[in-house]
Amino acid sequence: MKRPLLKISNLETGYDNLKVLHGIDMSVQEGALIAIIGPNGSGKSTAVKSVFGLTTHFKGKIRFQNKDLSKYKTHEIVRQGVAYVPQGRLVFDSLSVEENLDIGGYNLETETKKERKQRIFKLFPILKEKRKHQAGFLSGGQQQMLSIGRALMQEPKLLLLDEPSLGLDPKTQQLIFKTIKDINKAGTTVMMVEQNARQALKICSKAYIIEQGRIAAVGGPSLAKQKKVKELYLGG
Amino acid sequence: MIETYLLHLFIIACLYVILTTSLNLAIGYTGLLNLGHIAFYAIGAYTSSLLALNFGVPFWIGALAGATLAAIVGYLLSYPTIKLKGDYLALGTLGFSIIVESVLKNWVSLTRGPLGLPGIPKPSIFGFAIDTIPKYALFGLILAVLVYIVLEIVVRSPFGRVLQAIRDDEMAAKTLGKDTFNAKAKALALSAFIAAIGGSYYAHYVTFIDPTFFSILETILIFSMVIVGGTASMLGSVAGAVLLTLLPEPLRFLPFPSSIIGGMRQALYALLLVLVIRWRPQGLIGENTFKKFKNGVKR
Repeated sequence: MKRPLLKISNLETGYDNLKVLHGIDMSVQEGALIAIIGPNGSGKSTAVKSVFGLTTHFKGKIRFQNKDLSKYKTHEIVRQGVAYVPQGRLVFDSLSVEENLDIGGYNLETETKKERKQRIFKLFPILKEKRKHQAGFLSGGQQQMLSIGRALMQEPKLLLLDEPSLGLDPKTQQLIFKTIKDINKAGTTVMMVEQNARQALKICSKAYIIEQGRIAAVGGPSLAKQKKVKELYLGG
Repeated sequence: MIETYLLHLFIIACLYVILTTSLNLAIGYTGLLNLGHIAFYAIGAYTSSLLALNFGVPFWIGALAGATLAAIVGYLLSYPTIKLKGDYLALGTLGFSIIVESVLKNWVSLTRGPLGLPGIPKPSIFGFAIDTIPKYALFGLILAVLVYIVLEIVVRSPFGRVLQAIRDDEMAAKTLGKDTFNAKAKALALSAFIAAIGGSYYAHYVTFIDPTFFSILETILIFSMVIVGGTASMLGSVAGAVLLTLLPEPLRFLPFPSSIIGGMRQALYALLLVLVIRWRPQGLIGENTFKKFKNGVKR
């Protein structure tokens, strides 16, 4: 069996003195699309933030390509090939769409940058149309696309998404989920925290359910058929 | 006589250009609400004055020593204030400036406390004595232009872009692989370095300094200049500095006692600040004043 791209073992992390995750284990194969679902406050976002070095580390290991990410700072983790799209989109309001993408690829050669931008414009044609528009005045969905596009400028090996469908209308949500699937198909491993459990389970290759900082269930899209999952996360 | 007065105003305006542009690097470009800028100005003024008075150290070496000391203090100040943001950072840095002012007042054996330091020599750079008002005005102009150019280069550089990214959203900047703490500390250190140069420039011009020069009132004035001129705009800082230096000057000629004129000066600053914040919150020449977006949005 192939060695996993990311392996989390007995991880305990949190914020300052507060422990949120109480010993979770996860294994992410290269090319997988992982969904992390669970109720509010269960520690889903903390799990991806931990991979990205944004939490206090108490115990456990986060091995990514044979390196223990828990020993790295956030800016060093990015250089290892991990990208993170935070909850709430966070685009640079005062810059144009294109400038936001440029910042995402600040360290690239001009030609490579151009080529990657074209790829992102192909993925999100609306961004091409609005390339000279001020990012702060885009719609929520467009800002989410820009935020994902900016993260893709580095062509990461692992893309972490924190609630990509948050606050979007159903049609835009569909589009975002379809694009995430496309990004994954193109070869990027994706780890996504999502409240929309139904959609997340539909597109993922593997899902983790986190409850009170512990893994409550692991499985494929078939998790959606389990009675408990149906009752708790899919509205019966 | 009138020329001397106008040249004096020009020299002071150059000082404020140095102070506001350097403060704008921290406030406007990095988003650090720093109310301790005046402390760095004081460190520069006192370091070069004490070195000149006690050891006869030439101006430019004293100024560089003061600026380096201020930069180190600025960098170190980032550590205790790392988790402070917005208003809390403002309070933390204000506390720092009050501590520095207290040290200047109470470390009498070094600073002579409230008696101040008289007889600071006029500068001489590579044998060229800057001992007249016109020469000092030229010196001020050169210094202000130099500071402006350096800061413009910095804010347009990739490092400057990182600072603006941190200001807009520190988390987003982190997700792009930026060491945000290091960038903020460097910005504060550079801002302090330049403010300290301004301190040396002023101390050797007036030839006397005491701790009252570095009070909270001065902080408020420089802060107002940045806000009126426009944050995240070096040109805005120049406009704010020149405007607020010159605007209250006509008050001098009113037939009122100086105690009233002083109060009117403060009232005028306050009025201008309120008007700008109400009608032009981005400042006279704020960020993106000359930038056009396709959706016609300017901020």
